Amino acid sequence: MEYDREFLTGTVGVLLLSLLNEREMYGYELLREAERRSSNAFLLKEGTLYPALHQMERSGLLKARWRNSEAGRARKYYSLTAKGRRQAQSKRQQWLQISAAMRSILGDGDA
Amino acid sequence: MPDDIDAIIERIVEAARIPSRGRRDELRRELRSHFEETGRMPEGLDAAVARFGNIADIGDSFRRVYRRDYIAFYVAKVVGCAAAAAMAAILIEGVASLRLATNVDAWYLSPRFAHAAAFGVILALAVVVAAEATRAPFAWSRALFSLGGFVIVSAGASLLNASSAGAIATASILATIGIGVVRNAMTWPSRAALTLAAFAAAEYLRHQSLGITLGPLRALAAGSILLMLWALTMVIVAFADRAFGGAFKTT
Repeated sequence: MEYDREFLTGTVGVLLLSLLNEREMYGYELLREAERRSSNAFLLKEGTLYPALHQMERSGLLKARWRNSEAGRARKYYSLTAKGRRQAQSKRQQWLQISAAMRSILGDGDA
Repeated sequence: MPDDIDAIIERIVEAARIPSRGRRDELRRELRSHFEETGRMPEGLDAAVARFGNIADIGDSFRRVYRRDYIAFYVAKVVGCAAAAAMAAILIEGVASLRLATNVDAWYLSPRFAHAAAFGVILALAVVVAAEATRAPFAWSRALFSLGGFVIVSAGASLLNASSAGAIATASILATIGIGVVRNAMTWPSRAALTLAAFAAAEYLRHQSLGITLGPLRALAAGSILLMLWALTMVIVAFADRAFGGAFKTT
């Protein structure tokens, strides 16, 4: 389903912070994980993902390190910093409150 | 890795305008690692490329991420360029102000050295500003940044020394004349001759307005010194531009 871009603005950051709050991941893994968990509702483009990761890294929310996979392939893994964890928590709270408020306005059956 | 993927990666890295070579290599490595990963998927590399998105848009997104680094690097280039041009101006005016005291057989600096050096520095700064402000392709942000910087420096100089306002105005006019001639004259000899004539005329008129007698030959000599200063400043600007552009080259 194609979503209105207006709805999606700001969701990429919440999504990445939430996924990385669980464990460190590399770019392609983040894409696949977002797709899998949203049952393909979120089809992030790599062109959106990588600049967002770099922006968050520069803002001090993420840190990155290169690590070899079991197959010997070098990958850049991202994980949350302490600031990123606080941000993840705060964004999660805000998101839950907003979505609860929206559900109560739209009604559960229509949401 | 296929050549077209390498070309895509290079286009993104170049468009990102990241001043640090290490960061560029890091981005290149990350994107290559991504395509190696996606290329092994059943959909294949073509699907991965299609899914990646518009390359120009991605380059723009990365450029926004690294914009602060780029601006800092650009400011450092202009400040470095201005400092080098100012030092070159002091050197030229110093050499031009050397006099030989025949009675003691020793060199000394003319009493007007301080005034000439100050004017030379202001002119060099004005030339750097004019070159930046009128650089092609024209950009309002760059022009305003350059002119704004010059206004701040000029205001500071005027506060320290009220008499410098005239020198600043003259230097600004000379720099505008110099840049205008360079942009419009056809060949280097004609540019140099026209600039020399304009500078000599400006020096002649400036001295006339101050009530100082300056013959045509001395006006020509004063114009030659300014021309040398202007030419050296333009060489410094060109050198800084090449170094700045080279810092973003990816190949």
